[in-house]
Amino acid sequence: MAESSFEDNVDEKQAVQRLKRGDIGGLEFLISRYQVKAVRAAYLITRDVGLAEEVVQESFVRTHRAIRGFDETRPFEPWFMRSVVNASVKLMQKSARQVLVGDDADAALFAEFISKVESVEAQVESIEVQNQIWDAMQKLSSRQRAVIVQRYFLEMSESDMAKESGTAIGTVKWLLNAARERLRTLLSERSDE
Amino acid sequence: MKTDHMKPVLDAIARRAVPEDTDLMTAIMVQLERRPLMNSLRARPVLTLLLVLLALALLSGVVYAIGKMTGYIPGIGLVDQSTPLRVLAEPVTVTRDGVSLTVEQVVLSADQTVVVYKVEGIPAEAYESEGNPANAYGSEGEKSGESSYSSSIAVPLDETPDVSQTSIERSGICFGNENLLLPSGILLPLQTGEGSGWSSGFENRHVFGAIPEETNEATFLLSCIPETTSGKLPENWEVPLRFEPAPSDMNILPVADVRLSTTLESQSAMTLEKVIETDDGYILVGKFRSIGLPEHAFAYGERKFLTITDANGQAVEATHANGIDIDAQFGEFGLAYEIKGKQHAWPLTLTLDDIAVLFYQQSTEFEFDTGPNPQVGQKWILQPNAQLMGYSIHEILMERTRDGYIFTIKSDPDVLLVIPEIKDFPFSSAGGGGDEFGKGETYFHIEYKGEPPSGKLIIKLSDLQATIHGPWYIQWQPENISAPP
Repeated sequence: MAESSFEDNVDEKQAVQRLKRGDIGGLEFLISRYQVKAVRAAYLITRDVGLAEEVVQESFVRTHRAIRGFDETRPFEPWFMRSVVNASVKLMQKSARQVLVGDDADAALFAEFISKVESVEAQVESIEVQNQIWDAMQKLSSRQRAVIVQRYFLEMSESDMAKESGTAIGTVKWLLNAARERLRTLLSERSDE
Repeated sequence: MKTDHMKPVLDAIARRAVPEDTDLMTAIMVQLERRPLMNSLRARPVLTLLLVLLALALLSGVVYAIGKMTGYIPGIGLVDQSTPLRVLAEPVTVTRDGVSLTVEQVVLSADQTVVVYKVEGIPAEAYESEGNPANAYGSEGEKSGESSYSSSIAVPLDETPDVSQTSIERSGICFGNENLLLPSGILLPLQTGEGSGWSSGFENRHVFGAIPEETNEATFLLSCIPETTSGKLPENWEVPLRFEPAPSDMNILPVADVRLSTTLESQSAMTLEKVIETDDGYILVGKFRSIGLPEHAFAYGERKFLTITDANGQAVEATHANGIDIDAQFGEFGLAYEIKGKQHAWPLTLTLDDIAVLFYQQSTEFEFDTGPNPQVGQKWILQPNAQLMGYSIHEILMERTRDGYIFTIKSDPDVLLVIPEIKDFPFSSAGGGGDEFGKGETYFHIEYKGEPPSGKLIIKLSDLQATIHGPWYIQWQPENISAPP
């Protein structure tokens, strides 16, 4: 996750405390702070803005209900984003638009694909690259997209991902590797075209 | 691909689809307002009060919050000892018009501030509340004898500036807003707490957020004496507090994990996780999880208090242990019991017979026609023949009031509460009462800001709460006792 300032953390902690007391103002603060990032994360998994907004709305409503059980000593964002990611995956799994995963990993070829683009800035600005990655992302399973989003968009460490999902770090590594492998294959196919 | 490469690409993809000015605030607030139960309590103080009353009967002194269970101070509860503890330098009393407020103890740890305070000398007439609807809903008499509460399930009733006044607020009953004011101007609000009362006073153990290490002063603020009639007693209490390092000989008891070898758990729904050995007994800390319950059932409290028996089947005296913070998620609740004595016929068996559950967001509907021009006071007896999560809703007495409707609902005996709504007509305020007597009769009233809906209506019944019968049990004995043969 991106680092936030001390003041931000204090504000966030106070918002959580207010919400725990039933003060809806606390939720308003958290919505203002995280809604855009959450919708974007959900969109990367659901591939549908409407669905993503629905997922995030529901996640905030669930947060309102579940905040009592939230450990204030921990940051809010990973806890909340886990809810968004899980809800997005669940929604997608219901829709059965999935692609089966590979079971091995090798990030090298993936990196090779990216190296074909001259610079990081160029990659970002290149609509073509974005489209290629997005197309490839859409062919991943929702669970694979979720781990990619957690790791690379939300910038969670593997250990944080494991902690937040309550799974072993090995499982997270496996999921990530499988997702990367699949993405690598898809991108590799495209770049050979 | 390197992480720092992938991030901007994903950012760019997401930004193309989701603009920076995306605003879900209104949609979320509308969704929350439509929630009928716990999560919209703030906007509905009447309902809140009634659910608090229900909670009082259901729940123990266990506080459901998060805490690092590192040490236990009698009278204070669990404390995080990762940083040096501080305490109140000396008790402070403020007396005004014969009413005294004494802050007796404060313990400051890395994660929270616990304040124990007492109010004495409240005259009986300060509680006079003629026409106070709170009494009509069952709170009368609480002040005549001893009472106790745990506010952990309920949101505080004290702050409702952004909603229209309810009948309770209009009646001028003070709810007593509490804060700790730091020299920096930061207000730490009340997080949770418990307390007990008697005819002329009460004592509370209330928990606030952590106070920074460098801050050794604060002011305890109490807007007014809770539950008294506004204006009858002094208001806006301020008690200056000074803190100092805790003495080295402060009695802090260790909190030990319960090893599996010392428990024989019958069902994984109920677990025992921590034990605190006190001077004259033990405090046992555990948790109940919604495992093995009917689908959509979320456990939220003990319906009957847990009982403890020894190896000979004899009852062991046990009381709820206050101040034990337990990491309980939605669908879980904590258990914390203190047993007296260290000489028992081991192992002890902890038995939980009944729990209360919420069938979250499960609903059923039926149609009803009030006719074209229903009058205030007009009543209808509905026999919906409805089933909700396996429970029968037998009969509903529906009465038109000036602002809405009152529903008296007769259901199966295990039903504690069911929430009626009129579909597509979200109410502006509501309240109701659960069944504490096992008759399955509950009531609920809903009100609207404008003209209440009438004609052909769809009545929606949802969020049913019910008693689920066990038993669930655990056996436990101290580690230094030999295992039973």
